[in-house]
Amino acid sequence: MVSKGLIKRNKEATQPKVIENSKTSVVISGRKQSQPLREVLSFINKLREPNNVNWTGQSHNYLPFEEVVEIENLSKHKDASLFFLGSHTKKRPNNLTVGRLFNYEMLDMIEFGVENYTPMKKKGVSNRVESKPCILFKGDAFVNDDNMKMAHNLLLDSLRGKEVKAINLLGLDHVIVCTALSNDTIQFSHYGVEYKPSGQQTPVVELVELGPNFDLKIRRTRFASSELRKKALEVPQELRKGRHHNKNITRDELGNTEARIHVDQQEIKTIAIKKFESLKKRSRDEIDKMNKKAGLDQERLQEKKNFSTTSSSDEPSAKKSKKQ
Amino acid sequence: MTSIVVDKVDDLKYDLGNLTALDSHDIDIDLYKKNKDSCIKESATQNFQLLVNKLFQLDSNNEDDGLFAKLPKPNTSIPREKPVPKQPEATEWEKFAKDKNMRLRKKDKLVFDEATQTFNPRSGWKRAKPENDWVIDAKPYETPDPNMDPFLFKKQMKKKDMEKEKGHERRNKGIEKEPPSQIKIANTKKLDARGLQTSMKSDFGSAYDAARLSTASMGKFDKLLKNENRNIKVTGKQQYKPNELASKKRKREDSNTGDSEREASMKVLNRVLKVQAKKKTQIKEASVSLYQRSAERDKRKEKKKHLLGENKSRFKPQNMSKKYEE
Repeated sequence: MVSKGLIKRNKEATQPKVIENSKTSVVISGRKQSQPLREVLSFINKLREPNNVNWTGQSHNYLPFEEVVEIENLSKHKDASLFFLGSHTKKRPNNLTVGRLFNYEMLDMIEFGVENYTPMKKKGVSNRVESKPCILFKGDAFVNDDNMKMAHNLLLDSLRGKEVKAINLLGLDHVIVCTALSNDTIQFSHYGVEYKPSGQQTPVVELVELGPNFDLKIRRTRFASSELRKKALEVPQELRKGRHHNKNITRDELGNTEARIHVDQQEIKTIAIKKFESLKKRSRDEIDKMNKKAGLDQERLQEKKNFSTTSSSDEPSAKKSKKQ
Repeated sequence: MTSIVVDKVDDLKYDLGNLTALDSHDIDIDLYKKNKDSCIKESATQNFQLLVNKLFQLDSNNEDDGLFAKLPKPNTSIPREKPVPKQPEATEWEKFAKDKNMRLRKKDKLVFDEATQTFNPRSGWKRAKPENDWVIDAKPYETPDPNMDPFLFKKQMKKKDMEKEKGHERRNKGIEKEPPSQIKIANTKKLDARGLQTSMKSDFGSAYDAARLSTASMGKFDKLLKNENRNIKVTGKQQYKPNELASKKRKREDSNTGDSEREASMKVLNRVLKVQAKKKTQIKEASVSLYQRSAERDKRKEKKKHLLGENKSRFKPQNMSKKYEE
């Protein structure tokens, strides 16, 4: 039996919030697989470790460039907003689609082809892969070309992991490097880090070859419309930068703050004052009515008092006496 | 590399909140073609050294586990996962308070109780009970019945207040009325002969059928929809056939003359005879089977006669002698 509280909490976790949860991803294996693709997907699984749903066990025939609805339904079901889909066909060998969603609708999708794959070294890797990586981009195309700009944003979004406010500097274990070789291809390489002492606080860095290295060649892309993108990039008011920036506030050279206040005109007639019911304006008729009622009420009170003190047998006689 | 200083112009775009940096200079493609790995590794170490230099310049706390640096907010605009939540509308009470410029004061969770000299929660599990819980002022002119139990009356008033509050909550959320847990569509239980519980789907159907029949002419002259049938099956009720059945078969839409009189009576006869015949055959079969079984049993006995009784192997002298021989 699932408790009501659990259902409520799970529902609240999926509601939209001002400060969002970290994105969950789904790693899917398509209809057919090849050896390099399998290893790449397992590597991605490890990278995205806690916020990840692993669907590489079975094969799913998803074709996002033909039917988007299937992946949108999947994301609704699993509350995921990133996906990695790997499939291998003759026409498109070693195909890896990376995409993201907004409000369970498809935002951006890029289809990469994995080429020149070199596998991961087996010793001493698994611990490093689970920590937050540093990501480096190099190349002119990441600034000038449209597709590469989007690839830069997508890869950053999907590989960065959880957003943190503080980090252990000695725990920066591994680095992902993406270099742009042309307007089409990205060289993806993965290194481990070793720190060596220098005379100062910052250490000297040495990179060790670790993980899988492969080329990503852009095949097809699908980007969202400008309306959707505008909605997705909207920043809530609580988080906007200039929140405390006020034009009416100035600062002296001595450090005193001066401000201007603009006061609207007060409506004196509708000010909230404490009211006393006896001072209310009443007409003559109303006052007469009230007096009558008060007199009647007093009579009734007297009756009840008599009723409670005397016994029931005396009641009719008492009443009769009053009527007379 | 032996030192922190990098032989390079620091031209990178940093995003320390995400631990990234973007270098907008291309690599040398000739160098890359000659030796792929070393080319990329060199540039990567240079860029990473620059990043690390920046990270170690941030404010950091030195703790046992390591050096924790406070990261700034991320620079790159990454799209959200879900839309910005809409702020809920102000409730009636909040609007009233705003008009009157009231200060909305929050009540404390814990309240000091003088009897026990402790802090207790205001409501709920461990709340402090009021001192004079066993005494109420007698106000017989407030209760509807002057002889009513005042404690009971207090409970009832409290319940009413709670219901009122729930109504206000629902109004603020936009829910009109709490839906009942079981909705009855129509009083259609009579149409089910067995008196079983009917589901909502079947209730709909039977209610619709009942409504169709409930015109002055029993739905005879109503317009029909595309695939509708004029014959309505009223389950459970016995449909009595008319007294005068046609002698020949004539099919009309409205009339219920499925069988002529002759055929109907033949049916009945056959059924009766069938039952009788069935009973006879049953008796026959039972008797036959009894006889057969006893006969078979006797036969089996005869077959094994040489093995039964005195002829059992353990009583035979041959076997006994064998044992004693050994």
